Amino acid sequence: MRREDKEKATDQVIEQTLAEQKAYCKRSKDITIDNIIYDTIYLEKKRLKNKKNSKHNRTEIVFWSEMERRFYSANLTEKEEILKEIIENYAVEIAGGYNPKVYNFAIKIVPYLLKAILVKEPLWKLFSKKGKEKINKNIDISGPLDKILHLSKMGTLIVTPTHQSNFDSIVIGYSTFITGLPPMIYGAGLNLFTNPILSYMMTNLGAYKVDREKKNELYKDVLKNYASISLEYGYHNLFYPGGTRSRSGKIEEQLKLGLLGSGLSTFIKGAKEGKKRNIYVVPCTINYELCLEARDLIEEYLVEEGSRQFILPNDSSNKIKNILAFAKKTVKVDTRIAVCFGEPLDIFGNEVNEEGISIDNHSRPIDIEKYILVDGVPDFSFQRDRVYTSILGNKILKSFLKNSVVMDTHFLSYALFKIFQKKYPFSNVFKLVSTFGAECDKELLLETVGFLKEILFRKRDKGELKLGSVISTKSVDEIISHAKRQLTSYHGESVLYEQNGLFVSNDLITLYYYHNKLTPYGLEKDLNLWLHQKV
Amino acid sequence: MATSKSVTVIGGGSFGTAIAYLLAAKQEKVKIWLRDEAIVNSINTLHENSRYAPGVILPSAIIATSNLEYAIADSSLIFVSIPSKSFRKVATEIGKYVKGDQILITTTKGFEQDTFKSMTELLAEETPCLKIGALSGPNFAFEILSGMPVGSVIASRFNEVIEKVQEALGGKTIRIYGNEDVCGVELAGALKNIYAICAGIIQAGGFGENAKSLMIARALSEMSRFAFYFKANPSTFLGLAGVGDLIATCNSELSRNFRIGRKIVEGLSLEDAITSIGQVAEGVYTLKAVKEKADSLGIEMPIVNATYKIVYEKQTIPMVLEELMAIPHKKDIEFKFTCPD
Repeated sequence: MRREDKEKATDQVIEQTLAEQKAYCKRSKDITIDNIIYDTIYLEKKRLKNKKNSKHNRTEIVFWSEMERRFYSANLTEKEEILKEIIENYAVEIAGGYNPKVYNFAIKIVPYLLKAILVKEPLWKLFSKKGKEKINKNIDISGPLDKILHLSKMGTLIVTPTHQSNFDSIVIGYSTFITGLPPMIYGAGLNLFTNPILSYMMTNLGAYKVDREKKNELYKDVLKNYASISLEYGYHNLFYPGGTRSRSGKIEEQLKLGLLGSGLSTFIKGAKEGKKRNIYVVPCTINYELCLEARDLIEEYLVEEGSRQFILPNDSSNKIKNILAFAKKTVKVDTRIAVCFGEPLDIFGNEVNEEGISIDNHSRPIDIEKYILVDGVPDFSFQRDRVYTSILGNKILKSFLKNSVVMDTHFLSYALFKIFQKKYPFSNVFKLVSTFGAECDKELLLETVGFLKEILFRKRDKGELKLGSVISTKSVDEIISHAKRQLTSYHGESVLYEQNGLFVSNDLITLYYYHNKLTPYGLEKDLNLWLHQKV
Repeated sequence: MATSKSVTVIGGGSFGTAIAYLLAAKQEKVKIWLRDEAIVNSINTLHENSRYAPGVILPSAIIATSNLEYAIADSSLIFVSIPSKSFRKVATEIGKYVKGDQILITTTKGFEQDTFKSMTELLAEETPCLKIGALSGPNFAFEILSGMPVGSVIASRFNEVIEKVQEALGGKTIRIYGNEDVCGVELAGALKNIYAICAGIIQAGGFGENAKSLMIARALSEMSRFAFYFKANPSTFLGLAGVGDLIATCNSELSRNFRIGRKIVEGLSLEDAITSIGQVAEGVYTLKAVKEKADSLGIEMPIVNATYKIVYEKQTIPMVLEELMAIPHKKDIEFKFTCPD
């Protein structure tokens, strides 16, 4: 938020959250102000118990101890004061800033930063003009951009991207900038604010602080109100509705609805005050040919899901090696990213037309204010609003599926993994990925990729998914060799190499990660039938 | 909308008429929409639905109309009782006139043949309304119109929808239970029609009450298995919309689907059986849709398969029965429900 709005908005967040908590206690038979304060102090002290002895943590410990000490001897008025102080503490921590000058400066650096990560060029060429042009070729941005730009002038946007990588924020920031979309404020992990220079940049780029370790409800409410009030002030927002990065490589299957509901809250609050606030939700997919954290993410997923069936190799040097390898490899890889914006939606999940009016499936206009009437007047209704947000969440998920771009690396990994599943019939996937190696005949892979390509083209033509440029334009041979080159250039030769007319993989875990992107599209049945005849 | 005094029923078949009859006990004005002008006149002048509920005197609060816009205007609550075959078409028409604060309730137990979509899904796709629900349960129109006691389930994700339907419909002769599991309630309502056909076959074939009980109990397992795939709650099938409706429909001549089964055993072709019933028997379409779906998803549904073979493939009952009885033995209970600590 701009400096001039920040203080006022923070006060508003405090006031609104306090009023909501009091109203909640009044409404509920079981919850009192004592419960809210005690639960919060307890969870905060528990969180801080094992934290390292830093200045920031010491300040926090002092604050919560003081709150606890005062709580035990406080009367009701004093308890309300304590609650207000706790809320204030959170609101001040969360509040971010925005400085247009810093934004414009920082966004100019981003292409070079992306180039350093994605483009195969010597470092000394990093700041050349050609380098910037090259990065534009590596990022393919699509979707109804003119419409979204137009809507951003008529209302406030909430952009909701898929979340695969820590680079998502840089990619989406750059994509919005070069397409002329307005700057957005977004929640960023508290850890990014520990470095003073980075913290200065983040804050002025519009980031507000999100501490994911704080799990208590009061903190979540303050966070939600911050987002909601920023929308009220007309700041375009960016939320990752999946919450954290997808560990499995799959497209999000479930969303966290907390922050997503802030658009509806802002809309209802406006309607109650007689103001019509146009809020548009723009789902967006970010698709990487290579995900730099793929291996770490999938290992986390396998350990969690596979329980005892998947045992991670115990090699403590891996982490350090990975970091060094990462630094070395990032300048060698020439990889593609596809950013695809979906059709904008209203906060109830209906599509909106060019004029920003909500429409049904027959393009008939909808008066969305009707949705929020209680006894004829606009009002909040906790249960109803939760269902509305869940309906919006489902529409976002559908948009993710439709607008996901299948890259050649996903495609090849899927084909290979399915062949391996057929050839090595382990009782579950965790056992398969734990095997040292797997191989398949080159001819079989070519035929399988050809067969799958036809299915994917049909699905693309029906609008069920999108295909990356390599799959769309290249032959089966070219797709395989391009994807293989990509995978091995970053993840190493062990992912896939050729030996005596066979394709061999000693890293099924990485293949599994990329394969997962295609799992929701119902390809398995046809492919298995086909493989049944071949393998 | 909240001040409106009217509620609406779209569809003037026997169940639509029964719903209007129940609503009229509490509402000042119940509008019922149907296409047939002769029945509209019959209801408005003689207070009788001469075709679908002959002999029943309808309350004067019920006003029939063939004008859909008029039927929908000013009604806060709209029940849609249209056969699944024409449901989408009518829903699209409804979509022209409804506003976002109106509540839509489907009473149709079936799926759209081509897409396997439920009726609530069709309402969501074809109208701008979000507050949608499904009414289901053992509800024979004849018994409702005779003033006999009855219970129904209203399923919706919105508490408001459940409360409004309970308020509008609940009365001296009807109890309305709420359920959030819309998918489970709709699946239960649609699937049981298949087993009603099967029950009709067992009854008319003289296979006895043991066989019928065996079929009903295994049907519950089959239904739960099918529903589990769609993330519905298997415990919904133990409620009124599941076991309740199954008991009623598998044991009564009032069930059109049950009668279809009986008529097939009597030697009528499927087409003649449908014609002789004179009204829509949803189970006939549901059977085909479910069979195709279960096959494509690899869900084991032996009773559905057996019924399909008799109804659509004209296989003989002894042959199908022999196959059915030869299936390897299984455990009685497939789903276990854990008690909270």
